[in-house]
Amino acid sequence: MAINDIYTDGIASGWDVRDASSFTAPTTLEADIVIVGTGAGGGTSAEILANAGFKVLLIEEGPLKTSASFKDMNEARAYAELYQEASGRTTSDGAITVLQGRAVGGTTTVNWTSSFRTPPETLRHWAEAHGVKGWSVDEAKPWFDERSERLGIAPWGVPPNANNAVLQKGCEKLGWEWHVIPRNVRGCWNSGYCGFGCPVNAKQSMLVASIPAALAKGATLVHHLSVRKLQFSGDRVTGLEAVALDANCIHPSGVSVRVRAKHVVLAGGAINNPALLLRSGAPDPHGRVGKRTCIHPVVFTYAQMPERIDGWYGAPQSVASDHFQWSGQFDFAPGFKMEVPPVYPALIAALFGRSGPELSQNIAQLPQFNVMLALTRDGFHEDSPGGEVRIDEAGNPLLDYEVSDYLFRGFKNALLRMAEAQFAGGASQVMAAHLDASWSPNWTEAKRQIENLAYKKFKLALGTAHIMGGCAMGEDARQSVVNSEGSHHQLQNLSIIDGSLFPTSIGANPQLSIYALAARNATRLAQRLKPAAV
Amino acid sequence: MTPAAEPTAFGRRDFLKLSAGSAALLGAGAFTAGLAGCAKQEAPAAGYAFLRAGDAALFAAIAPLVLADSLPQQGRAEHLQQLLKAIDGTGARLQAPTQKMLYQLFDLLNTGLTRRLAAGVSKPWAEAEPAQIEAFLNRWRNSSIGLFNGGYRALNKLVVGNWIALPEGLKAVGYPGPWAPMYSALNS
Ligand SMILES: Cc1cc2nc3c(=O)[nH]c(=O)nc-3n(C[C@H](O)[C@H](O)[C@H](O)COP(=O)(O)OP(=O)(O)OC[C@H]3O[C@@H](n4cnc5c(N)ncnc54)[C@H](O)[C@@H]3O)c2cc1C
Ligand code: SF4
Repeated sequence: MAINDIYTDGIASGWDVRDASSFTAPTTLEADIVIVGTGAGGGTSAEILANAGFKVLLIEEGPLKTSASFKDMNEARAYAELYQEASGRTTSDGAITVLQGRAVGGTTTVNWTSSFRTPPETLRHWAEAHGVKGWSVDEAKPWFDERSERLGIAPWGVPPNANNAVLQKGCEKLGWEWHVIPRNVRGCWNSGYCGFGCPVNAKQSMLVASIPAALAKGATLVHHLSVRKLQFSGDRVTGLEAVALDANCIHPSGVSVRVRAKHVVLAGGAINNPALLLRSGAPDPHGRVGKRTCIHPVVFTYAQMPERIDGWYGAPQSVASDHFQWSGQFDFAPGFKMEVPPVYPALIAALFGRSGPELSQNIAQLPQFNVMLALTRDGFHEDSPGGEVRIDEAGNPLLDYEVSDYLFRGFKNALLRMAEAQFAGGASQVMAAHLDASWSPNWTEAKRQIENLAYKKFKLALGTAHIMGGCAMGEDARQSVVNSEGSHHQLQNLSIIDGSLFPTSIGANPQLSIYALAARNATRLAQRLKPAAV
Repeated sequence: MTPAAEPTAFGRRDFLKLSAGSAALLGAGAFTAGLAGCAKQEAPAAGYAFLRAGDAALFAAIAPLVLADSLPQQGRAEHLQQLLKAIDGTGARLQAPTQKMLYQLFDLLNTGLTRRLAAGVSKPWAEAEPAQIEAFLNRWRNSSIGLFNGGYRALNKLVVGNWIALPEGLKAVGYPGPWAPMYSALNS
């Protein structure tokens, strides 16, 4: 069965898609609006701005990979081609694994399709504590409605796979809140391969939904092109310096590219946006760039189920619990959202952290593994200010992220509750993802063990797939980088439209928070610029 | 780094004593600190884009002890070669700061003195006793010093993450293969 490849067909019909690795001489590209990055923020902005009649140029440093290259359904290929640093990115001290995408479609090409609206508690907190204007629950609602419609977002209508069912059953038994996760899919096969690129274009990622729409309206997409610097004159960005990458997308090919545009939108995501601003020496009078980078730090527990559950198959995430998210002693420890990750073989085996027979015997049982995760809500308390993006001498990004006792207490709470849910969900043994942990045969024993673990970096397995903030929005220029609509406080023709805008973490998987905010910001930008007058 | 006089034998007590010392030597918790000055500007080994000759020897030595039965006995040499290539491919895609951090870890483990002090392994990796390698992995995992736990995690993740993504590794975890209804529909 052949799945029609959107891009093969589109390019044949005249879409302007260019591979910068094939450029042989320095070039200058021009547009009304250039968008750097093609993920959740960039893809959404491109669609809206192209629809509004602007000449849009989309720049992406990753490769263009499409459904045709996803049909091997292969994990190794996915990490090498679609992730930042082949999935080996970490915080600057190596303690927290950082998963981010790097391809046309950005992280949406590899994400797991969970689509939550920004929780009302978070929106209220932004207005109260971070001076965000115009993005209240009521003001945001139409944008969430519109993007949900556009991207096919609806609660998953198929029973959860066995991995998610453990969480559902656990919550039901314990009387905890749980809900079905809305997903951005159309015609989904329930296969589970979202993290390796959806091979049937069911996932309504930016690769599949918004970028093709922008291209059909005459936008230009240049991939294998990395923006290195912005140039300024007074309070305007006058141009971009970019380098073409080689075919493998690793090293610069040696060809440089200049870009001129009347307006510049940064959508390279958290980490890369602040790094670009820092590299360029962009005005930052209050030292806000890169600050308050939040990551929803994630801790994990493993469970052995009595029977085979094949947690690698089926929609990766379909059940979540907010039972410990918004009610608790938040002066003591942060709230968290409970979910499961797909049991992707290499991902989970590498996380396991064991060696020798202890490793081989345990991972041989992977078909019986349930894995749970908790997304910790960072950035909401003074003892959890987020991390900081800085650059090295060569301008490469580094993310420093300190883990406070406040966060460690949250991790302990989360490990306890996840282990409890796993036993209630039918697990025969449970173990925290920690170098000193061992399997516990029952909840009492697991509780005792988790309470006594050493809460330290490296001992505790920590990861993040949600990098947020670093270019915070807000009305007070002393606290933020851009205003509430994403316009830079100091540079008048620069907007930032992606996950780096958030002043805190979201408290839910962030993609729909980005889509809705990007749709609003891009629409306002279009109204402000008016195609004829740009 | 060429130490003038290398002590010859270290027991467990020396290791424990010196491991704390080398942690201090390396700075507060990151491999990026102390050895930066003497990081070797060595090119990757022939046929590799990231691993230098010593790094490849290190992984060839530790991988069988990390993976145990997940690495089949039959055709082991060939599997190890595949694994080294995969680790190399991952390493080549890392950005400079991550590469630098790893090179410093590898330098620590490939310099005679620090290999003995920090890892407790008396011979170069290609000749190291399996028991010593196993003990090294356990000590770094169980250590109360974050630096060693971090080094252990980094090595473990490179070996396990890359191996389990290869066909033989996928078999070792009982993965039945890409979901058949979809795979066969798309690849027939
Ligand atoms: C494995 C995984 C699973 C996830 N699952 C979910 C989920 O189920 N639900 C959910 O809500 N969220 C999920 N997320 C997170 C979500 O996808 C991201 O938060 C979101 O895509 C971020 O959007 P963004 O626009 O900020 O950046 P991104 O989507 O990361 O896009 C940024 C793009 O810009 C490019 N770029 C950066 N700098 C430059 C430059 N200088 N020049 C050129 N190009 C550049 C990057 O290569 C990248 O492609 C997941 C993330 C991961 C890693
Ligand atoms: S589960 Fe659905 S969206 Fe995910 S890869 Fe399979 S078909 Fe695509």
